[in-house]
Amino acid sequence: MAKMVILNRDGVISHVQEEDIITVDGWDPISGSIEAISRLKKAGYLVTMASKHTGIARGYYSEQALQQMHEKMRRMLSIRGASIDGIFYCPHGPEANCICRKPKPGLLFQIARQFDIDLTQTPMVGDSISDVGAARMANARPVLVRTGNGEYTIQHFPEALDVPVHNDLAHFVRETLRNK
Amino acid sequence: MVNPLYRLWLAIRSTLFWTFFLPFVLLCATLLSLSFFTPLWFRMGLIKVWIVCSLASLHLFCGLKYTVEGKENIPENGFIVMSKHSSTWETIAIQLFFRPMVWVVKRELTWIPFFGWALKAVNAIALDRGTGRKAITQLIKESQRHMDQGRILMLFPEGTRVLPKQVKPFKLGGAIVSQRTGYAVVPIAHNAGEFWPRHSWIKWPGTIRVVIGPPIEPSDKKPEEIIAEVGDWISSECERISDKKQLQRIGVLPLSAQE
Repeated sequence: MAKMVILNRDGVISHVQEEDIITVDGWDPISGSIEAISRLKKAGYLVTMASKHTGIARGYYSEQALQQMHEKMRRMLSIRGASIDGIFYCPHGPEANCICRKPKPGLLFQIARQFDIDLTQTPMVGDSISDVGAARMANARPVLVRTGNGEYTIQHFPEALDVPVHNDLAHFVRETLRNK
Repeated sequence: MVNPLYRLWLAIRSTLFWTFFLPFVLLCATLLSLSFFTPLWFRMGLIKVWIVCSLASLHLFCGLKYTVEGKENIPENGFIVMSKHSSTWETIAIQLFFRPMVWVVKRELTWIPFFGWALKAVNAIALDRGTGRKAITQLIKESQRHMDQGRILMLFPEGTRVLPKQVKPFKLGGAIVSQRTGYAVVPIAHNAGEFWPRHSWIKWPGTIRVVIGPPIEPSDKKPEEIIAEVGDWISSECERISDKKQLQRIGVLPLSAQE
């Protein structure tokens, strides 16, 4: 069965921008994150992304702008000979009551259906409590990084106290590949 | 109405409560405002201890208990809690029923020694109510950031403690936040004000009832419609759980209404 790591985008791969001023130019990877994805790929992992983009529902940025950000990320990855196997996101607001908005597990189930993976063996790396919640509900393995909203999450949510914490994505990948 | 001797007895019990409660609040608030560098479990534990001890001492000294209904209505995501405000009691107790909350308070409260420092330590959003539109913009921006992180926004739409049977309009601010951010409103009704009314030295023995209502979704409603729905639910529920005998004791309902 294929091994996979699921990543949240903003706060894990890229820096968090103020939601109402998210732009393609402002999309900026956290140092080491692109290399980290590339290392995961070389070690034979599938890498997918599961993010929520409430800013689309709120009209802060368009779906098209989001695609351009994804293109930018794919270009940066391809320079290092890597790629991302799937990009999944929820464009809805909280009032939509959709099944894909984290902490609901819809995106993770969708990923599990599309790829032949065992969610219980799959880390979901996030920086927010909604990532932890989605991972728990989907029976995946929640992991927190301190980047993005990570420090805030660690400081404010008692339900995250037992989630493993890494400094950033690069740190998580180093540890994962070492323990293999 | 109430036997003066009994009233004196209640006043003595309330005095005993204050002699324990006041130093205890000062201690906890000081610890809390000094504890910003401590790990989360310590701060959460401290708040829990503070609430549980406060409520236990109310039970012990004043014979004041409480029950909670509707815990199954609490959503998992971020949301906005709008509670009836009639007593100091709910400001102590509410945090016990939910995950850590972000409180929306008037700026003046953060100036109070000890108590205000503790509010700052738990990241309350301090509103400068005099500034109107600017205050709303600030509130929307900050509360959206917190709720997108999965936290709960806590506010009292009446703005201040309201006496039993008195009516104050529900302020629009929280409903505007709900409509702009898409997060639902969870209304809370309770009758704490009948047992521990504003400015009352005596805390009456009895059982406070707290009801957590089903979430009110903003959908495509206007803020006015959202707040009307919240207000209607809270008012009718408060009417339903109101303790008529207690209202007679505190002289809000005339005695003749008895039997």
